[in-house]
Amino acid sequence: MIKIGIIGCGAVVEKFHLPALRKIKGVSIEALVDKDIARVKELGRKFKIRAISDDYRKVLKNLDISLIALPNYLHAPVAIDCLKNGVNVFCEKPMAVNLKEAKKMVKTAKEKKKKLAVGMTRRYFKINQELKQKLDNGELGKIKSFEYEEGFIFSWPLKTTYVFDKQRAGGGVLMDMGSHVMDLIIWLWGKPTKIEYWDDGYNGVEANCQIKLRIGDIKGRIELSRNRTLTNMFKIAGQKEIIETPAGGIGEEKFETGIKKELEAFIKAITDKTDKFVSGKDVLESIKAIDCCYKYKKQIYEPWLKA
Amino acid sequence: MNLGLKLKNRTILITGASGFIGGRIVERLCQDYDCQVKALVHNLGHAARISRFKIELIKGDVLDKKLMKQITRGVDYVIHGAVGNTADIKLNRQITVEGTRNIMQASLKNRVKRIIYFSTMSVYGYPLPQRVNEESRYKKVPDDNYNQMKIEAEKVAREYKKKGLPLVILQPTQVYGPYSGAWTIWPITEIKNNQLLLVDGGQGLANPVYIDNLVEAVFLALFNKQALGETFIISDGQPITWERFYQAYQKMVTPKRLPDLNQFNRLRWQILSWLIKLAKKIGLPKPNFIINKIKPVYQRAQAVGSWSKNRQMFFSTKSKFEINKAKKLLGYSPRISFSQGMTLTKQWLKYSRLI
Repeated sequence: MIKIGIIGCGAVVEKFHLPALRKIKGVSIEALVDKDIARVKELGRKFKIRAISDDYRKVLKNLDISLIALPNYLHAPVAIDCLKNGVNVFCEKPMAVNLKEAKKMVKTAKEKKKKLAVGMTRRYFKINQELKQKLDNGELGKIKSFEYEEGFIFSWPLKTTYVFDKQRAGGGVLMDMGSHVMDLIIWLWGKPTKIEYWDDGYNGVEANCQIKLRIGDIKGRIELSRNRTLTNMFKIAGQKEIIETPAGGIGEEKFETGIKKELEAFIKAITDKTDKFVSGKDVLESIKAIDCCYKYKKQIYEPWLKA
Repeated sequence: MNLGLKLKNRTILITGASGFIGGRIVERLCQDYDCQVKALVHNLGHAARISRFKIELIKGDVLDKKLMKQITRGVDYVIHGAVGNTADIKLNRQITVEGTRNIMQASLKNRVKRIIYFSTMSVYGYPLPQRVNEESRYKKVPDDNYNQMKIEAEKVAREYKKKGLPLVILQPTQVYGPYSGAWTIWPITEIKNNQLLLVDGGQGLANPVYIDNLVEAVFLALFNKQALGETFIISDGQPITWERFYQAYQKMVTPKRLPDLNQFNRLRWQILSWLIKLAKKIGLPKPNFIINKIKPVYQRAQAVGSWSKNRQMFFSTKSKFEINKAKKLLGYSPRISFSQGMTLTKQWLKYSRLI
């Protein structure tokens, strides 16, 4: 039996992780941790989990895995602490708010010979896996360009305001949705060779961003939004064929199914001592790309904004 | 008046901060002035726009008295824009009226320097006289929940003025521009759905105000000594026909002219809409091409059939809302003309993928 502890008990844990974990065999939820003790109690009652705490350090020694679903800025310090205490880590995305911290996490995992997984849920969706297969088989011919658009009026379940706080979230739509998208693009084609980036943040977190990039000969355009409805399509133009798939790749699947698959994969990797999961090292390039975007950011032109 | 100096290091609380008007006030304060902005937001989902700036975002409800006391502490100015905007009429009334009471009470207790309350032109009801000014009588319109609850809320605000709260009441007319639900997004959506209609050839008068003109008035009202305790109608001061107002949007979508309600036989379209509804209910017609073909007809039928008397009256009224008082006392002078406002609005609509 693999023992897992959940650190950070926001709305997403309640809605997705806990229901998913309960459906996985061979795993027991050994601890729920949140600094808001009333919140942990509430979840403990709802999911019938007795071991609750407001301090993750107190529960680490019993755990095989700690699942970190804290505000982004805490991912790195808490993950590193868990790894140092001999606990494998499953960290929610974005793994870290910058490359420096991400590298430190990967290094610690290596030194401590522990596994560090990242919740790149979208890699587990059927549509994305089929897309990857198709591209790896060269079915579209040589890829010339792609366009990726994802944008809705923001509706992610939230218990707190942290996703809108630059300090704690590390960024806006690029850090949040973009960590998935960048990971997907790099998983499909490899690391970008050129990036141009625009967003609409002003000392706060951006609600919209536009990215122009090149991966070798492939030209790409990405547009993400938290307050506009975009086409929500991923268009790929190959020499043989042009295809369109739903952005995000969730399609008919339930989000919870993706969460279940990624957790199952990690639990299996620990039981079987394999490395068949999305690891910290696997996402370093995407974090590097996001770092680069923020560093060389240009402002989106909004003429109606000026007084 | 140097607004920058007056606002420097001041703390301003905005309720309804993720709404259309509150959102623009937050944008302007953060972009142009060096002040602390506290933004009270009910639905965090809509906070993406204002979170682009450095603000203190507070999730909460104006019905939460304790929270209102807490968040008005240490605040210099309050701009109260929160309004009930849910599907529940009773709850809306509570948010609008009791919410106003809560924020006023808390502001009084914590001695804020000034509070701006957003009332509305709707308090004057309709039918309206030729000229409407701050002396005109308020009218409760049957079946108009917005009109009724805003009259009640303004009454509450006035009670607090008597208790010594430094209050200014603004009564904006039709506020349009980026993010405006009623006067920008709604007409565009209706036009795209074949549902926007003119009444009486669109010869009734609109009294539009571009959002930025209104925000200027808010800033003036915060500091103007003569404004204290006063009520001001705020519009662009240039009434235009509804035809001109809506045709500006229509042009962005299609070269066709807007249809007029009078050119349709109401009864015939009403019956048609019932028939289509019935057919849908019993599962007819199934093939997609038929559905696509009748869709515009159905949309038109719905639009024609659903026009209420109130709405018809609203759009056929030819009243001018006067802004002489705001001009004289506040020093208000609307800077952005209708055509400039529409140009900016169009750019935003394009960017927002609404046209």
